[in-house]
Amino acid sequence: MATHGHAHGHELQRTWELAPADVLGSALRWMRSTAAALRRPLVIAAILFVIGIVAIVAFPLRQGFANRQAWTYVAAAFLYLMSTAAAAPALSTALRVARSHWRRPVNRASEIWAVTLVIPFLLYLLLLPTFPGTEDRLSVWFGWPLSPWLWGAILLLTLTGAGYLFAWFSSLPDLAIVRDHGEPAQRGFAAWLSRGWVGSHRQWRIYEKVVNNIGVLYVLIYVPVMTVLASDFIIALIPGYFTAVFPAYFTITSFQAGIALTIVTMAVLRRWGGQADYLGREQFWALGKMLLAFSLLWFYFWWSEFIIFWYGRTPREIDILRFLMFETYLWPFVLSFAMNFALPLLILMWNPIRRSIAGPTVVAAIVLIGNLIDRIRLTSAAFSQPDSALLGHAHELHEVPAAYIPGISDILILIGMLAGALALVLWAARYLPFPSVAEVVGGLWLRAHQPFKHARLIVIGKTE
Amino acid sequence: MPRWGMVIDLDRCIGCGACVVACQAENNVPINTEDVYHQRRAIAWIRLERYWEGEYPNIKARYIPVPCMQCTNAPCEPVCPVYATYHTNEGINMQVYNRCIGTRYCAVNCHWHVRFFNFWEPKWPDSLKNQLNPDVTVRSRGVMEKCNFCVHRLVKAEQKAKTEKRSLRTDEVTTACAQACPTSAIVFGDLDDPNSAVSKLLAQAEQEGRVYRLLEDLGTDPKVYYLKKIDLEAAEHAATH
Amino acid sequence: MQERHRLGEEEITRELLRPLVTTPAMMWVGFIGLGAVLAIFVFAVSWMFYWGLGVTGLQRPNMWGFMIVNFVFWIGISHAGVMISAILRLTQAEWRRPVTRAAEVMTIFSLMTAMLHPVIHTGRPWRTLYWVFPYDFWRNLWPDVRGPLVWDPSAILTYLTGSTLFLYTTMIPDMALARDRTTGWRRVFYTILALGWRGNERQWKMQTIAGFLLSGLILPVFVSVHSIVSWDFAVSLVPTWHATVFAPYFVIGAIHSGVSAVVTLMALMRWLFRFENYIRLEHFDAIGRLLIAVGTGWLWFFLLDIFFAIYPQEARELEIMQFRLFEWPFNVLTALIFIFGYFIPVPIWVFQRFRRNVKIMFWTSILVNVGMWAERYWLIKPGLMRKYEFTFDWNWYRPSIVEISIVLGSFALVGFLLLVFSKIFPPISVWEEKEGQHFAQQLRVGKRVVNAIVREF
Repeated sequence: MATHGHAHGHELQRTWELAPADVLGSALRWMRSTAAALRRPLVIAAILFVIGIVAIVAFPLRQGFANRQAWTYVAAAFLYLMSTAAAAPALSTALRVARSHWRRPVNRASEIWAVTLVIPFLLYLLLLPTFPGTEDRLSVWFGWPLSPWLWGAILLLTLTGAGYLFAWFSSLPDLAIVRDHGEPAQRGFAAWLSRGWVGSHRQWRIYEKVVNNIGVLYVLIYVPVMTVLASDFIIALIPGYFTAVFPAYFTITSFQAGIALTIVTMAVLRRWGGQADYLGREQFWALGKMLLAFSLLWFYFWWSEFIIFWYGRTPREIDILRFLMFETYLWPFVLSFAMNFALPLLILMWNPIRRSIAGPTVVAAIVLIGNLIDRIRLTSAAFSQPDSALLGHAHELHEVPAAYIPGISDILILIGMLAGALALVLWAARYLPFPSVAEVVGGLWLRAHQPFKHARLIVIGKTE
Repeated sequence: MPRWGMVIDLDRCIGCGACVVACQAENNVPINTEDVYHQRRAIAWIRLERYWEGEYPNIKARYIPVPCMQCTNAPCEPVCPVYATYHTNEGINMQVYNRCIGTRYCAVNCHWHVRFFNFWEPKWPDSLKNQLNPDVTVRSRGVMEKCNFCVHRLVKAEQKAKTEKRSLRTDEVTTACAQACPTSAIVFGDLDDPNSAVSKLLAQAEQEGRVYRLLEDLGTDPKVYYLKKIDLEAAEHAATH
Repeated sequence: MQERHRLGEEEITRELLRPLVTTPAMMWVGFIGLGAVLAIFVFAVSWMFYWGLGVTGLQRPNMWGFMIVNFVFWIGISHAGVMISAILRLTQAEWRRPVTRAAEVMTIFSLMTAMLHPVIHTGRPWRTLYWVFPYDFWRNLWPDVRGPLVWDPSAILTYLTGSTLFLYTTMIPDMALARDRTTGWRRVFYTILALGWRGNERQWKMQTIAGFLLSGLILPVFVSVHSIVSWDFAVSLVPTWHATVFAPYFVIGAIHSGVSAVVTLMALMRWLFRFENYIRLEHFDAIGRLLIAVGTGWLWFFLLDIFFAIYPQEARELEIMQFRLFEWPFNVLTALIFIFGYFIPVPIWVFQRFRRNVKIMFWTSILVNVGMWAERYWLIKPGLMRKYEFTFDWNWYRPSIVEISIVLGSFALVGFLLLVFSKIFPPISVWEEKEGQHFAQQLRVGKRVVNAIVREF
C-alpha cells in the first residue's frame, strides 16, 4: 500500500534475492535438524493426547451415549479442530486461486494442518451415537433415514480424504527432495509418499493444473461440512433456535480462525524454525489485513443474527438471546466478542501494527483463544438440552438450562485432543521441509527488481 | 389511567356486520364501492372475517370481527420512518394522519392486517357530506388509517369528566362497534377497572377456558380478547373421534 | 496468454476520448430508443402522482410490490462499482483498469434510480422528500431512527456521496486531459471540473492516496447498504422475511448481480465504441472467474435461506414455501432463479474458451440478471401474499401497467444516463490505462518471456 510516496523505508525481503540453491539448503537444514529438535515437543504432545484419550474413556465413554452433556468438551474439541486446523488449508487454496505473489512460503504452513484431520474424524464417529435419529425432531436432514449418522460420517470421511489428498499432492515435489537428499531415516517413508516424482515437464504441468483444483475441491467440501455441523451440533440441539445465518457465521468465523492459526504457525516457524528469510513482514502484513477483514466479518455475521432476533422481540427469540448471549452464557460471549472482534479491530486498525511481525501474531493468538471460547460456549449451550426437549419437533426453549461448567476431565479432554493435533503436525514436519522448495523456487523466477528513477520496484510475472 | 381493551365473544357474534357499518359511519371511513372491493382495497376498520367449515350439507360459517388489536408492543410502531404511529399511555395505538407519508411499512408489519391505506382520494357525494362525523378527521389519499378504539369518544368523555371535576365512571364510554352490536358480542372498557364489563367477562371466561388472543405467540400483547365459540356439536364430534 | 498490444500515449488518449467527439450511429439509436422508454417512465410516474397509488396493483395485504422489488434490484446492481473499483484496487488487480469508471458510473446511476423508488411509491412523495431528512422540519419531530426506512436513506446517501466523490476524484486527471484538448464552452466546462490539475508529482501522490483511502472507506458502506436494505424485510415479522441470513445473502446476491451487469456493460462498450484494445478478452476471463466464486457463494446463501425456512416445520412458513416451490407462477420463478442465476452461467464460465467469448459472456450476464430480478420478486412477494393464518385476507398481486412501465423505464433511465455520461466524460479511465501500460513489463525466465506487472511494495 502506497501511503507515503516513494521513500517507503521498508527493506526488500531477503527471500527474493536468494538463489535456488540457498532455498534448497534451508530445506535440507530443516530436514537435518527437525527430527532431534522436535522430539521433545512431540513426545509431550503425544503424552497429553494419550491422557486426553484416557479421560474420554474414563468419563464420557464410561457413562455411555445417553447423557449427551458428558460429551460437551469432546464436541467442543471436535468443533474447534474443525474450525482451526481444518480451515487452514482453505486459506491456502484461497491464496493459490488469487495468485498472490507472497503466498509461496505460507502455503505449507497452512496445508500441513490438514494432517490433523483424522483426529476430528474419529471424534465425530465417537460423538455420533449421542445424537438421536431425525425422524422425531427438527433437523436439516428432515427425517431422512439413518441421518445424521451415515450421511454425516460420509461427509466427514470425504472431507478427511480430500484434506489428506491436498496436503500430500501439494507436497509431492518436496517429498521427492526428501527422498533424494534427506536423512536415511526419512527416505523410506518419503520415497513411498513421493510416488516416483522426477520433476519431468509433464509431471510439472499436471501438478500446476491439479493442485489448485484439489484445493478448491477441499473448500467445496469444507463449506457444506461446516454447514451440516453447525446445523446438527448447534441449531438442531437448541429447540426454538431458528436461524439461517448461523451456519454461515460458523463457517466464516472458522476461516478467521484458520487465518489466525496460519499466522501463529508462521510466527513459530520464523522464531524457532529458522524461517526468518522466508516468512517476513510481507507475509505477516498481508495476512494481518485478511485477519482484520475476517474479524470485521465476525461482527457482521453475529450482528445479522442479533438484530433480527432483537428487533423481532418474539418470546422465542428473546429466550434464545438470553440463553446464548446475554444471561446464561454472558461471560463466554463477552470474552468471545472481545477476542474475536473488538481487540483485533482496535489493534489491527493501525497500519504500523499490521505491518509488523508481532502485531498480527499477537492478534492471531487472541483470535485462536477467542474462537475456542466461542465454540465452547456454543457446544455447552447445545449439549445441555436433554433428548426429551428436542423430540416431538420442539419449537420452544421451555426450560433454560444452567451454564455448563467444565470439570477437570473436560479440560484434560480438550487439551489432549488439541495436543494430539499438534503432535500430528510436529510429526509431519519431520517429513515436510520448510520452506516449501517447489513453491519458493517457483516464485523466484517470477520476481525481479528494477530500478525506476530513484525508487526500486518489484516486478511480478503473471503466467497464464 | 384507564387501559382500554375489548372483549369479543364469538359465541354471541352472528355475523350481522352492524359493527362494520357503525364504524364506517362513526369514523368517516371512505365509501367502499364495488370496484374498490374487487381491487381488494376496501377499508373497514373493523372487518368481519368469514370462514367456511365442513362440506355441504354440514357446512358452517364462522365469523370473527377483527378490529385493531392495539398491541402493547406494537410491531407497526418502530418501523414507521416519520413517527406517524405511536402508543398513548392509555394503551391505544394512534395513527397521525398529518404526519403519515404512506410508506405502508406499518401495514406490512401488521400481521392482523388491520391497517388500511387510502389508495384513492376519498370522495363523498354532496348528499352524504352532512353525515360525516365532525369529531373525526377526514383523511386524504396516501395516508394510512385504522381503528383507534373511537378515541374521539374517549377524549370527549374524559374532557366532560374533567369539566365536571370527576373521574371517568365505569363503562361510561364505549366504541361505535360495541354500541351497535345487537348481541353485545363486542364489549369495550377499561381492563384495569375490576368493575368494568370487560374485566368481569374476562374473569368468567378464564374460568371457562375460552379466552384467547390472535397471534398471541408473537409476543405483542394485543388488547382485544376473543372468547371461543361454544360449539356443542363440535365438542361432541371431538369427543367421539 | 495475454495480448499485449503496446499502445502509444497519444494513441490511447485519442481512442479513449473519441466518444466525446464522435457519436456512432448506434448511439443515436440508443438515445432515441431509451429516450422513448424514459418518456413513458416519466409519464407513468406522473400519472401515479396525479391519481394516487390506486393506479398500481397494490392492495391489502400486498402493500409493497413491483416498485420495491425494483428498488432492491437496483441497489443490488449498484454494488458492482465498489466491488470492481475499490476491492480490486485494494488487491492491486490489474485487470480492473478499463472497467472501473464504467462500473462506478453504473453504481451512481443505479443508486439514483433505486433511490427514486421508495420516494415515488409512498402515498405522499412530496412530504417524503424532506420528512425523512434528519432535521425536525415539523415541530420538533425528527425521523424515527428505530425504523429501517430511516437507516435506508442514510446508508444509500452515504454510498452515493462516497461513490460520487470516488468517481470524481479519479476523473480529475482525465478532465484535465479533456480541458487541454478542447476549445470554447467545452474547455470552460472541463477547466472547472479539472480543479486546476497540472499533473505534477505532488498531485499524483495525492491522487494515489485518495484512491486507496476512498476505496478503504467505502468498503464498510458497501457491505452495510444492502444489509440495511435487507433488514427492511428481515426485521419485520413477515414469515419467510424474518430470516437472519438476509444481510449477507442480499450482499452476495448484489455482487453477483452487479458484477454480471458490469460484464454486460463491458461487452456493450467494446462493441459500441470499438474498444477492443482496451476491453480485452483477458478482462472477460478474469471477471468470469470472479463470477464463478461469487455465484457459488450466492448459491450457498440461497440454499441456506430455503433450507432454514423449511427447517422449523412451522405452518406459517411452510405454507409460503409450498407456494413458492410448487405453485404457479413461483414454481417457474424458482426454476428460473436456479437455472438462470447459476446452473447455466457458472458451468459455462468454468471453461476458459467460453469466458473469452464476448457474446457468451454478454448473454450469460443478462441471464444472471433476469434470474436475480426474479429472485427479488420471489423473495419479497410470497410472504405478503400469504401472511399468517388469516386466509380470508390472502390475495394475489398483479402488477398494473403503471408499475410495469416504471420497472422497464428504470432500465431505460440507467441506460440513458450512461449514454449521456459517455458523451461528456471518457467512459474508460485514460490515465489508469496509461498507468497500466507503464506497469506492464516483461520478465525473461530462462528461454521464455513472461508478462509481468510492476508493484510498489
